[in-house]
Amino acid sequence: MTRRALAVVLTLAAILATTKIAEPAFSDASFSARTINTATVKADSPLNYLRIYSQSTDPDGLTGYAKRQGTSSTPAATGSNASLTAHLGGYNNTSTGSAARVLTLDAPDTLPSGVAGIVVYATFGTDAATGSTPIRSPAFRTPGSSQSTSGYTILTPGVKRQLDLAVNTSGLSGNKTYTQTLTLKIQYLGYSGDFLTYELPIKVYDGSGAG
Amino acid sequence: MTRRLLTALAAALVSALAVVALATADPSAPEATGEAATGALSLAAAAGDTAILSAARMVPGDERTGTVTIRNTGGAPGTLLLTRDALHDPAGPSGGRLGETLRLRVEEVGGASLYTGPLAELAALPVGSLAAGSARTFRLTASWPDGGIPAGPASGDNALQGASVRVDYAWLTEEVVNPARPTPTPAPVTATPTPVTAVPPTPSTGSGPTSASPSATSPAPSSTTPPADQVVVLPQTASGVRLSIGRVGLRARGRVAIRLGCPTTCRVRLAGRLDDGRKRRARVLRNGKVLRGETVTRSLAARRSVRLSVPLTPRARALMNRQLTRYKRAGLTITAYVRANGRTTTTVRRIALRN
Repeated sequence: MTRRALAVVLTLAAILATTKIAEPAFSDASFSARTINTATVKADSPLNYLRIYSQSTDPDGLTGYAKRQGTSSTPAATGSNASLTAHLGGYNNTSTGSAARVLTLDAPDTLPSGVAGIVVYATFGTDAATGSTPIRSPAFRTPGSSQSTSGYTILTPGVKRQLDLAVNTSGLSGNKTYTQTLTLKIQYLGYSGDFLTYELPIKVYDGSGAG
Repeated sequence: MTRRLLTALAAALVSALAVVALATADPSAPEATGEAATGALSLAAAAGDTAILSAARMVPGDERTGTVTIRNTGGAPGTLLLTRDALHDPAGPSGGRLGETLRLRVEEVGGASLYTGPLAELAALPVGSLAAGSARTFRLTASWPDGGIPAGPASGDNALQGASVRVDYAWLTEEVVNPARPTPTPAPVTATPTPVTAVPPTPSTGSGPTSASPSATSPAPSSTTPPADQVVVLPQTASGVRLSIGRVGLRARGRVAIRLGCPTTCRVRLAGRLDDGRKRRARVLRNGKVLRGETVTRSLAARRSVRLSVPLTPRARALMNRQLTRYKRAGLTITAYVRANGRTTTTVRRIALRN
């Protein structure tokens, strides 16, 4: 080996070592995962306790739902559950209007574990624009029955109720559509909060025709 | 000096330098091997899976807890780190995300509170040391602050009806390979893992609303029953997946040296995460899109170990360089999702980089 070759070898070795040492440094620690634990949280939903149907979405094919006043056969309510909406139609300055069987409430055949039955409360808010309450007096009836109860109803698994409403547009500004929110609040033994709630928009027209 | 003597001296010097260079590779350190079981939503999942907390039908004001015992079954002490491995927080039917509302409390049973804050913001939490053969039990509590009466059917708490969130927490152990070695050290990071097994998660307890319901009905008490006890002991090397991260060659166009091995034919997907390198409450700088192509998938033959040189994405490389320049530290976590024999296991390695 010549001296020149020796110098080249030594230089290369020095460069190699320098390069190695100059690389980014690390801590001497490493982490090793031995297990992964999962946390899963699910929020409750009114759907676990109560389904709401209109004529077009009723899985049991119930008929006789309320028609939109001013039409020949258009049901007042459409959709289901949280997306159900209703327009009761035109009630021209009347104090004795009614809409029977606007929608159906259906407790599922199997309620969540530990829940034997539910109580459903129905209340109406006011029309946001005017503060008036032309839609009122929600009442529950058993399908096929002429009897109804107001305020609340008790449902056990698989039991249905239909909702009747009263309309009073007497003294209101005519030719106007009013929108109120129907709140269906679900409670059961052990839970009396406001979370399990459906809020459904219901409309009525104070005037002639369907509105 | 004779030519022969010069040659011998040169050979000796080259050998010495090679030893200096290669010593940093610490070949005596056993390769990090380990197995991580993936937690599962279902308690009936494959053996080894654990659910630390499983809460259904939660409502505002509720609080649910779960506990887990982490045991160090190895012969060396280590430090323990709780990290969030994955967060699945999809929007619920009304658009709300539960993970943004829930709060999390982590505490040691019989000890101090370690974290209290939004569930979604816990990224990494050092929880102290774990001596060889010892165990520590931690309690995780998820609570849902009551937001009051919502303004509308799809606002406030109402927007969370039917929503769900799932968080995978990884328990990591850290063991110092050679505390006496001065830093900076150009060593590849391979360490003997401190074996840790998760043993019986105790049942979570529900504390839902308990006020009386209308007297008109007499249903049974609300069931917020937590999952039953389960006893899970994770096999330490059941999968035998080996994963080690070598050096991150910033000068070599930002490549990460990774060694992978499977006891059986497997398919491995890699993902990366970059953090600020802090030991406590490390802030995630980039989660995903750290490795080029976002994920790197490889098929490995049984008992074959491969070395991969995976490039960082330009953005990740820039972030890492900036972090190292400004703060002299960064953290890189590589997660390997290993699919073999119809089962997926997850192995995580994190290295702390110092500049």
